[in-house]
Amino acid sequence: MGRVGPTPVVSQNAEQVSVAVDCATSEDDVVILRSIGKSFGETIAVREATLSARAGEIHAIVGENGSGKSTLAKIVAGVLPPDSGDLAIFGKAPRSPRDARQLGLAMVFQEVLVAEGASVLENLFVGHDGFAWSKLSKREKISRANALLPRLLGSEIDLKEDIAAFPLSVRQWVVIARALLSNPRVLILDEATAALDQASVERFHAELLRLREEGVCVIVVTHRIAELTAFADRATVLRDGFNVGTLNRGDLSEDNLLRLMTGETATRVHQRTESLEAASDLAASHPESALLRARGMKLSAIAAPIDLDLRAGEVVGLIGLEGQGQVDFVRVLAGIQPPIAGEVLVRREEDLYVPVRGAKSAQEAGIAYIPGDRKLEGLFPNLSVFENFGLPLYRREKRLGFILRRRVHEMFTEQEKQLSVVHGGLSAPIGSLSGGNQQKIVIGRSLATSPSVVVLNDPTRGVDVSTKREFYDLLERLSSSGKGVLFLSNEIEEFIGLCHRVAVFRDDSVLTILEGHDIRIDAILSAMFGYLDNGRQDTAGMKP
Amino acid sequence: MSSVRRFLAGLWRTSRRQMSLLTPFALLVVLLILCAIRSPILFSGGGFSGLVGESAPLILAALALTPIAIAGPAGIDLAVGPLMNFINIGIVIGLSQLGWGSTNPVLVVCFAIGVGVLIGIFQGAVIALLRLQTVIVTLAGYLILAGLNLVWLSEPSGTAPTWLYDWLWSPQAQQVFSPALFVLLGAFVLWALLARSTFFRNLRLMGSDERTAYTSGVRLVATRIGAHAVAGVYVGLAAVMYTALIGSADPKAGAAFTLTAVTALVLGGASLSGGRASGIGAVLGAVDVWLISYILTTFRFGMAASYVVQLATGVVLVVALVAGGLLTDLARRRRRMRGQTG
Repeated sequence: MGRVGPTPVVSQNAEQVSVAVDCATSEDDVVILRSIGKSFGETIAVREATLSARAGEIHAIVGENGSGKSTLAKIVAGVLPPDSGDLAIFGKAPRSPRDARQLGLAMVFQEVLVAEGASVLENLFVGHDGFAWSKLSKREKISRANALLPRLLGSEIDLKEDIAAFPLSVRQWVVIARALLSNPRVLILDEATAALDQASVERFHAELLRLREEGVCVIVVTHRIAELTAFADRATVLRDGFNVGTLNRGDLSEDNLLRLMTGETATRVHQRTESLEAASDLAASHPESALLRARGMKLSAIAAPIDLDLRAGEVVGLIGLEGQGQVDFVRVLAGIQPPIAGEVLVRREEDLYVPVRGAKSAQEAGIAYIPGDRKLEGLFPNLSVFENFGLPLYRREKRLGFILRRRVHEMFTEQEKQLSVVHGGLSAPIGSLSGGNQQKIVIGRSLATSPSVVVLNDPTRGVDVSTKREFYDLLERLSSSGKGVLFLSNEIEEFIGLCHRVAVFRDDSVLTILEGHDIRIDAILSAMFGYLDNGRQDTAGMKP
Repeated sequence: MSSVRRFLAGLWRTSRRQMSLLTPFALLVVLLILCAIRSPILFSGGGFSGLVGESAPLILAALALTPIAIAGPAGIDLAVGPLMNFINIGIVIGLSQLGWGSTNPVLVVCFAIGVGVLIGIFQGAVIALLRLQTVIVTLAGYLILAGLNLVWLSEPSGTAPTWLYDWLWSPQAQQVFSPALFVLLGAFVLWALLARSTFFRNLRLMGSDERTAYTSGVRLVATRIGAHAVAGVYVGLAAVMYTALIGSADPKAGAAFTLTAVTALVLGGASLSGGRASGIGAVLGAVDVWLISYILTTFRFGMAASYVVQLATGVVLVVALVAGGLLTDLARRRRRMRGQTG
């Protein structure tokens, strides 16, 4: 967040926060990061993060999506080299995971990294062996694995079996056990409990407390606040790649954490030209005019079903922490993946609703889907600007099997003007355009089919500020012209002043829908972390 | 005969454990039955030594391809045929040009392995350090070596060292325990040792999931180069046996040889996506490929014989891959069922 506003504001805010902010280093510190910066292309993941963690403590790193916490953890583990700043683990900076391992560091990554086709035992001891010789005999490995894994898993396991035969929860334990078996002095866990059930999480916490007693420095990256207030000694809060404060045990409360995560950056990103309330009333007064209906849609077998209506002239924001189902939801709407249960209905005429079955049927029903990852789902990287615009249209704009190039050309000219695309000619390769202009091409070709519903999957990622503003104006224009807009974003501020309603996802379902004055950064963020306004924590988030 | 039965029973047990070996093994049984009908002489001492001697270069080349296939992804060493030819010319012509002569078997074998390992390490280093795709680098190696071979020697000529020629063609070699068999057994023993090393385990882990291996601290560059060095050892041995087989130097045969060896590798159940390939599979695949062409020569196709062999090998490959795919699918489904109930 804050990427939109002037950047220094955030760090100043950090000092204004009333809780104790402790970034000082002490001689017990085994992991020290000073002003670490890291960017990927034009996207800045970590701006200036400072952190210190001691031996014998459980240190949490918290922050919302895209705050840079995973990147920071990977930098500590030697997977990513920092662009700037200093890093020291026991006084040395690791340059590869192998270096880090030799310094006594082990990390459990957010992705459950196992080598399928290799046995459980081999997966437990990856990287344990030297190039040609093993430091441990096979018998020794088996006895160590048997001493640890059944305790973690709560049951016996065949170490010789291929890891591919086991479900995700077992793999997650294997990955955790791998880190523990290297007898680390620093252990980093990046969302390591995502695939574990409640009983497993408790065993996991017991293990962490045991490690702390042994003097291990445990760094936990998490977005489960309830989990962390229960056992963390300190927590460093990241926002927009800065650390905005480190809380000591006494100050570790949900309120303080949420306050630090949101900050005071309630500056309006978007100023709507017409009053949101008026538009909202207009949409509400025509409840029958729902353009799209999700009915009993289930995104996973155990999730609560989703019922959502999108009315004409409405912008509905979709948000959630990473992997809470919001991305699956838009992909289901676009017909790219089928729901586990339920259906999506699109209005064709007054009272005639047709179900969406597959991507083609969604398109024909008038749903335009604008993917978030341009490179993966949106663009043909080797083709020209015009081909990238026209390819999805060729199927429609043809006569007797011949493409009506002139018609597509007219569409291009129109959208080019509407969206003010800057490009170096129709035949220029798409890669020569800036990220924002590439995204405009993707959006333009969807709008050229005159859809009634526009579904955007995080369209502003990696796009500069001025282009973002153009997008907000565009979304507003679309909704004013009677289209329904579903807008998935990872940046809460984008919703303020733009969305009529915001649906917050948690556990593959919609936890709550905020409307009107409830669309505030703190309210949305609290809901993302499972807190509703009545102060109830959504404990369902602990279950798989 | 009882030892043969015991050997086959052991292979069957191994195949049951590794589904990928089931297809090449079943194919081997079918081909052996066909051989017993068409050409029972194969089961005599002379027939067996002929099989060993003539299939040895292919078996060794298929083994050479295996570590590179394990290293993945898309780990196919296209240069294996021309490299084998290059060493073949080196043994017949090069050694005497260097003034070393080729009378000393130890020197010749060391030379062959040395050249194979050096070129293997070079290719591996280019792939690992510059992060290029294996197929592209080895394609370049294929073209360069094939060209070099023809520059060096425009047509088949020269004669193999007498002692090497005698490994296959002397009357003493026409029995079960021929020199060729000992070379193969030595290669298998080396393989068995390598397959139990931590290097090989790291190699398989790297091939299965490179990110897991990297983040766990496996040395990717060294391991990948190591895979190509091991391949070089086996290409060197293949070149020695190939020189014994043709008795001269041939600059042209390598190109086709690469494709035959890759066929053997794939038939042996290797997965080209990496991580999964076995030495036993490669050997079974190579013997299968050799037996297909052997059986077809017992029919009288005249001039068309070599085309028929290609055609038949291709058909068998497709059938085997489809059968193997269905089998692993079945196994996976059964395993999943078991996982749900247990």
